[in-house]
Amino acid sequence: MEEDPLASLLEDESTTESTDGKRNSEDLQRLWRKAIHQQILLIRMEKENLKLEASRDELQSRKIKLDYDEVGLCQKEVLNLWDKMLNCRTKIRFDMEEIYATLKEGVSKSKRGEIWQFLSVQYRLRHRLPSKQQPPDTTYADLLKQLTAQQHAILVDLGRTFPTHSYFSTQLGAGQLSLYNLLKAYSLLDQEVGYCQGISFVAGVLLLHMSEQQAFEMLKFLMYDLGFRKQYRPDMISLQIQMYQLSRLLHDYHRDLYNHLEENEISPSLYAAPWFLTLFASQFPLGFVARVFDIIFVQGTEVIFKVAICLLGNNKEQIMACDNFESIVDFLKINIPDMTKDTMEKVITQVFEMDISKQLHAYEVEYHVINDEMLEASNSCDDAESFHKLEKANSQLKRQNMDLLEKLQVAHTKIQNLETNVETILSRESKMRNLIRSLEQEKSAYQRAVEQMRKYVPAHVLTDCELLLKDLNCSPNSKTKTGSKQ
Amino acid sequence: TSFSAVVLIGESGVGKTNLLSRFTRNEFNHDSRTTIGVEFSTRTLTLDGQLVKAQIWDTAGLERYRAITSAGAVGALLVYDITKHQSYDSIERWLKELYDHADASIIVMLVGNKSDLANETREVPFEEAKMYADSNGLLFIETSALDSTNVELAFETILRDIHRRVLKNKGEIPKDNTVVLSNQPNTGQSEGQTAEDKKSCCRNV
Repeated sequence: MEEDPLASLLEDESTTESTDGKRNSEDLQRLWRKAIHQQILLIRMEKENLKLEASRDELQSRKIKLDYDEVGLCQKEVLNLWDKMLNCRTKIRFDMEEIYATLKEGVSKSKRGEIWQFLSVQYRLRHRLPSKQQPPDTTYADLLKQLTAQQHAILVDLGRTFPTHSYFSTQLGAGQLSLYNLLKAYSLLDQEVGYCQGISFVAGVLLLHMSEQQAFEMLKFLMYDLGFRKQYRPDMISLQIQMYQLSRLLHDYHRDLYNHLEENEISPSLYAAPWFLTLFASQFPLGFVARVFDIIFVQGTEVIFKVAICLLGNNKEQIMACDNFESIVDFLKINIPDMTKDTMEKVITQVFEMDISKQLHAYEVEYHVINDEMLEASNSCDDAESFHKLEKANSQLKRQNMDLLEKLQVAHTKIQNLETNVETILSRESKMRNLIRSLEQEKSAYQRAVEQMRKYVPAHVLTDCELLLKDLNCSPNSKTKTGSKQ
Repeated sequence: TSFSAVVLIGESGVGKTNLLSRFTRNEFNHDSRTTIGVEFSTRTLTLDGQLVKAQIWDTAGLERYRAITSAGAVGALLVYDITKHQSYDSIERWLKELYDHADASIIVMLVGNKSDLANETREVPFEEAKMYADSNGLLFIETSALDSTNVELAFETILRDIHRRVLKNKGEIPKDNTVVLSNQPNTGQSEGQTAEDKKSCCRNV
């Protein structure tokens, strides 16, 4: 292929020249040179073409990835604010209020991936995980080299994660391959959780906004720093606690709805399990999900509760109008995710204004207390079983205790650090005070010396000198120097 | 109308959700989502001249979701994929799990799904599965949610079995002819029983 233009070029030239009967080596050389130059040019153009194609591919894939309807408009001023924050190379702590206010104003989807990463950096500047809770240090590249025991489960879910989104819909296309890599790497990193259905949706949302490697870092952030991994543990106790918390919150905020659902035997686990396990990604429009993720990157797991309460509250009348088990569950699963854009914006605004952290904590404690009481009650019936249960409760408490101890330790070291900081600052302050005092003494000594010297200087020279001093207007040191010169 | 709760269990990806949608809505979805948690659908059909309302629970296939699955159901379809031996190998574990949590009298049907692929990629022989089912007291059938083969028959068979057993156990035919809803007081004894079943099914996440 590559030789063709060259060959034809040579042939043409040689035939024309042979008819003229003039064929010398110089001509041939010139021809060769020309041909080689053209060949080099061709190769260069091909390379450039590939580059162009690659960048076009990237743009194309970005376009495919970000193919969703945004919720809420991000005004130009807000974009500028984000740009200002994102362009800061060093890890500076930004004012949280400012970040939060900007977040409320909106996020543009083309910047979303960067903004999530920025928010994770900001979060980590404020909250550090105790070293025992941190993920292992293995790099993404190293994890990809290993084999996972969960391969089958992951493969089965590839085609069933965002099956209608064009980035993920092609069988073993770029999207599915990235998703596979990401899920495999995570399952190897977090051996306790491994792969759990639900994670693929979270990973998918991340992949739509950033590269595989970045998505891996952000998945680590969500799972470890924000604590989402707890709900995927094999015993799924954390999920049960969350269901209890949601039902109590519903009781607080919408008592009538709570009663209606209770009467119909509908517990949150019937409808809210996917909300928690996929962070709304499996059922809700992507624009809404992305907006929920925006807030999650700042506030963590409690966002899921807030969104859930708002969704249920906003649809209260329609849910109350459904009068049987099936119609209610159908409404919750089908109608609630099918929102208009205005409704989505309303929900997001509501979520920004809610604060439920105290209740969440209280209800978690309450869950444990109730559980313990139930354990006790059942203990009275059967001795062997009760012993077993007590043992289990005991080990659970021990674990809790250890966790608390660990937290205490972290707090202690933090306090110690702060105290040493205070000490050094205090000692520095007293040193400075001493320095200032001695400097002041020195200064007055110099002033006295100047006064004395002045007495020896003739009057006309003195005025000249003062003029000079005014011109210079410099430090006391040089003043004394000029003074002493006379 | 009498009421039955049936649960679909089995490994991830064997086609539980599509079996359900084929039976209740006559639909097959090529790009269906992974089931997270539990879902359910209902269909009312006539069996032995009586209306039976079937509430069918679809569950996530992942092992750690098993706690959610099956307590209280009166019937279970244990589904495997005839083209994946791995999904057949795990049925013993599923059975154990089921008998641990469900009523001992639960009726179980072993279902080999994806029979449309039998000629190309079958990995589990029909006879092997049939023998296993017979020796373990399970009903057995091969189905294809894709081309509808035997889907109707599978659900009808297990629902008819359940229905007959209920009638036999109660020694009477339900007199009431209204649809039983969980928030309405029940009149007939058998309906009281079935409402109980429904309450306890799939609620312990």
